[in-house]
Amino acid sequence: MSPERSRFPDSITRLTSLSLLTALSLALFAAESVLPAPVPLPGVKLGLANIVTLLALCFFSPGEVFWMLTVRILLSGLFAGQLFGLIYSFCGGFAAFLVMAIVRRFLTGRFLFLTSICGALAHNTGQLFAAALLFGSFSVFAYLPVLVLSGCITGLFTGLCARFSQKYLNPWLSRFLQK
Amino acid sequence: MKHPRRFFHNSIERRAALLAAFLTVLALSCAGILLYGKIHAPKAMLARIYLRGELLAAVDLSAVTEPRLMTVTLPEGGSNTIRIVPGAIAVIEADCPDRLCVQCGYTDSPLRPVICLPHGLLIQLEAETDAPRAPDAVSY
Repeated sequence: MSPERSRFPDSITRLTSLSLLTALSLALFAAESVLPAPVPLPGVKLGLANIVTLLALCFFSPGEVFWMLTVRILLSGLFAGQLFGLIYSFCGGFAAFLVMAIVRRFLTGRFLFLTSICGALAHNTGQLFAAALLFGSFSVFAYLPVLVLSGCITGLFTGLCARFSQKYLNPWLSRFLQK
Repeated sequence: MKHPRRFFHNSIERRAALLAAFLTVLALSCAGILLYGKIHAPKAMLARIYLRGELLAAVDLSAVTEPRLMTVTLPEGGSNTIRIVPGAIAVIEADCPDRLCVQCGYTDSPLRPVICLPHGLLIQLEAETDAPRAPDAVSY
């Protein structure tokens, strides 16, 4: 592919790409809520939208990803129509974002799945904190082992998904974006 | 002097291996905790037998040592024979029209009650546990 530059200012291509990624993560979120749960345990889900967060972290700065995530969580909260769901999503989403942004500084390339697993674990822990706040007791942390196990599995899955799509997105996005 | 063998070629691989090892240990310990909890879970199970909404008997299935039978008879005729074994309970004989209660088989879970609709018989299990009940919630 020829490394031709886009005709638009960089800020516009970045804004557009981020908006596209936000739309993609919302679509994944909606698709996932229609899919039957893989395991009949509350709190255990694939977290397909996290694939997009991971991808965005590969191509954009943490600040940009933060705002993308905020928009995604607010909009998905609107779609789902649950205020309490929004609290869970914020706690889980930002915990995952924070951890993944830190781990990404140390790990790159094919070890994306490790970043993803760490993010999934942080997401589940963040949601448990939200649950502890809402229920007013820390006894919900008895559920942590289940969520750690499921987080490892789903994190591995989303991480591999992100890695494989990153390979195909890389030539496209790096063409438009100045690193 | 011989170089020590290098398993990992660069610092990223070393970090990845460290992180992977940490995550494996974390996952394994969680699996261990879950297995331990499964083995040592209090298995007390209370079976409540209702006839037309009235509580006839409550049996602690975990305290049952040998199988026994119990017959529930309706005032206007008709009966169900209940068999209680350690940890499970079933209706093994009935003279109701459809005998669905017999086909239910043995139950050991609060999620699977045994019901005889024609006779109005209900066997509901209740797990006696002091573990906190998991919230029945949907999160996004």
